Amino acid sequence: MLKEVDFRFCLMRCAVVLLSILFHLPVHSQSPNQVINTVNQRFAKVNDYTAAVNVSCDINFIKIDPIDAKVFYKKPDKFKVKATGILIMPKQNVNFYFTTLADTANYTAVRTGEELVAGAKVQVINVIPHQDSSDLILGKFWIDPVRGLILKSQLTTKSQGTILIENSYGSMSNYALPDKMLFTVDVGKFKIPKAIAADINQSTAGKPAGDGKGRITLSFSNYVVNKGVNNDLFK
Amino acid sequence: MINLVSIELYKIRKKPRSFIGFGAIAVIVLLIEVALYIDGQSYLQFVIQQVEQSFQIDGKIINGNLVTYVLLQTLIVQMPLLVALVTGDLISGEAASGSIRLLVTKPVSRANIVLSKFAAGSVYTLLLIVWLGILSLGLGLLIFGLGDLLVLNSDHIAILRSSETMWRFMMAFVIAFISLSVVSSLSLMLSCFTDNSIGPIIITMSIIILFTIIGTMEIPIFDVVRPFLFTTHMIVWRSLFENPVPLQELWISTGVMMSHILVFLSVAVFYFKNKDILS
Amino acid sequence: MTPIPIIEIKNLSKSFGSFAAVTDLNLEVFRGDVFGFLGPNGAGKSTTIRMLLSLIKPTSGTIHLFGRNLQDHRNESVRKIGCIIEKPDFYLYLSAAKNLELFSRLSGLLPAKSKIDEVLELVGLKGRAHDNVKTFSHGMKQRLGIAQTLIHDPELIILDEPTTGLDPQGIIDVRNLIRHLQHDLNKTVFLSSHILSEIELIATRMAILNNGKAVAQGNVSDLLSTQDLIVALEVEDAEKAMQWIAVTAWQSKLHAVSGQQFQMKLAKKEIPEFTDDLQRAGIHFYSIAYKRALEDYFLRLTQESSSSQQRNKTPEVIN
Repeated sequence: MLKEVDFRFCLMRCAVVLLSILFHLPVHSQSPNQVINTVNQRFAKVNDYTAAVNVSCDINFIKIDPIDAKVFYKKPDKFKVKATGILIMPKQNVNFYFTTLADTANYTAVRTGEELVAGAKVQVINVIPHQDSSDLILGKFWIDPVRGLILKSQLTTKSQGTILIENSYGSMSNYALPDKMLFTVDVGKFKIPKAIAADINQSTAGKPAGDGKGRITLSFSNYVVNKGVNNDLFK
Repeated sequence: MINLVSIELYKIRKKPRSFIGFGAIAVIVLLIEVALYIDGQSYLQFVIQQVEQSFQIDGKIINGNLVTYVLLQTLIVQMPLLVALVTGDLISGEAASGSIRLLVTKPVSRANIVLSKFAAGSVYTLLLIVWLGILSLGLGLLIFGLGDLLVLNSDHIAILRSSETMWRFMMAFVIAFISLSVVSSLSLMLSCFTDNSIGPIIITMSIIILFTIIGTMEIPIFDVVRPFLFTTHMIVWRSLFENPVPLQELWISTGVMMSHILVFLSVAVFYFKNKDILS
Repeated sequence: MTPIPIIEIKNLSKSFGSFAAVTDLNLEVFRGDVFGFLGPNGAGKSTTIRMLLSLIKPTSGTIHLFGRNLQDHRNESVRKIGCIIEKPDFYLYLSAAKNLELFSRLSGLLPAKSKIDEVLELVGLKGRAHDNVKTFSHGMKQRLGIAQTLIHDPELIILDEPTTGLDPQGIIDVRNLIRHLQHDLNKTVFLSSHILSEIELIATRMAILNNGKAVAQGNVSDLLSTQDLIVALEVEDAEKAMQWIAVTAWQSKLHAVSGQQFQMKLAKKEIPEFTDDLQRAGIHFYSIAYKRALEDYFLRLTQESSSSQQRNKTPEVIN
């Protein structure tokens, strides 16, 4: 089973690389890695940060009010969200990019075209990790090469299927830190045994499960960058 | 009337069976609280696993609010029995022991006797609810602390912020009180019909079980009667944990339950007023 | 001036389905009476008492208590009544004193501790005031029942078979207590019993009930007068005696004949004259005994009642 999957990954990788080379590469002067590096250069300026975040969920099987939390980051990969209540977050933490794209030697980047995203002309770059052990099978990034910002990304993972992340930036664009991130995730059917279920809202039972997607919006504010974050916070 | 109610309360207080309810609640609550304290994560494993297939869930899920909710959900099955155990005996118990003869020869109207017994039964029910509240919410918060409430449904979960839970629990206890008052008025009515003390308790529970079965079975013919069964509305306290609270549904259910109380009490008063005391 | 009856029952009837427990009963009880309500088991005594106390509703007829219609003035009337109906059943899980307090409060009176002590002392239970009633013997419960009738100081006391289950001393105590209630406390007592001698000893007026109907009513002394006695003789030769009676003036006094026994209905003063005549006629007799006519009648009622009960022919609803 595993071998079959690996074989499919290899085929997919080869197809993407070939198609990219055939149709797009000659048109542009910047290589995909160079485009990614514009982003990485911005990331590199961030040693640590804290920010307030409002987490809002739109998931068919979870009814939850938006909640305010605080996020903490410290290089290279320390990350923590703190909230007073229960928090539903994407499995990929918001610094997913930092770790995934930082080392260009770990993946092959292939540009597949150009698109307009939120009025900006972006380059679409596919990232194929070299390590088969990586959860990520294929990453597709919509990067604004001028500003060095990822406006959109689509991650195909082994564990979660496809995840779409749409970013918008504000005052912290200099550090490639977004003001807003919208995660769109494939969700499966949710069913728990009657023995522990209360079934208070019978009206939702039998409703169509929407488009089968769950959405989480993270709205950041009050960024404090490179002012030092205590290691104890990550315990 | 206050004199009558206080006499009835005194009698309830002095009957050993009145303490069964408090004891049973204490045992169940403590048992569940200890179990959740030791192995609460396993209880929710199945739910958490499903959420964590796609998302990450952070925060204190096992908390006083969840424990209280689980306890309310569990005890709603047992509470009618505990209430009927006392209220079903209020008149028939006196008929069985013969003290009803003296009671009815006193210068108080029979309607007042029934109503005072209902009022005393209601105070007892209220005390049971308060006891449940103290043990579940009070002790729960003390042991497990405050936190957002994870409400489990078979097809979805709802998370209510901790600031939103207290008033919902208070209202849930009020609704639970009204629900149990239906049970107490039913058992009191049945208590008027017979001279043995166990009959009304068994019949009350049988009616509740029967109505619950009719209410649960997805057979179209039952759809017509389901809205009129008090058992259908006894679980309306759960809707308080929806967001937003379906107020109309809540009012309708409360109205239906109050109507049941009124009908059961009227039948009880009418029957008892005209009953020949032959015991 | 005609005294107003404390209890006035007119044309009272009660049926349970097709069974008539009380039929067209008329009764009057006056202030200061110890009224004996006599009847065999199943005669309708308890049914009548239950109607008096509004435990059951009459099928027809009226009851006036203290000059007022019971149906319209129920609470005012029963407030002035203390009663025991059949056996005294109390809250077994409460003490004697607490039972008395509760029943007094139900009558609208919060009794002082001294009042509770007083009535318990009156019935000889003062030392057991704080014991739960479940520890009491039947006799003690019966005495507590009487205490309960007195706790709110009523005008009328209704006692339904108050000596049932008591030992001989207990019966005497209750009898003395009833006398005390009438003589010293000026209470009116309505006392039901199936024992004539009990009524005879303490009642001033009485009624005899049979099959739900009053068969006799009046002063005890009048009803149980010695004017009319049933004299039973056991003779050596009954045939000879009968032949002799048939030709004498005593024939009109012959009451009944059975084997060697025959009964005459005589006044007390006629007995010596009758026995003298017998001796003169050479009729020897072994024994002579007399009973009062009403006593004889009641004895027969009681015997009929108990034998019919044994045959289980009469439907018994109450009593």
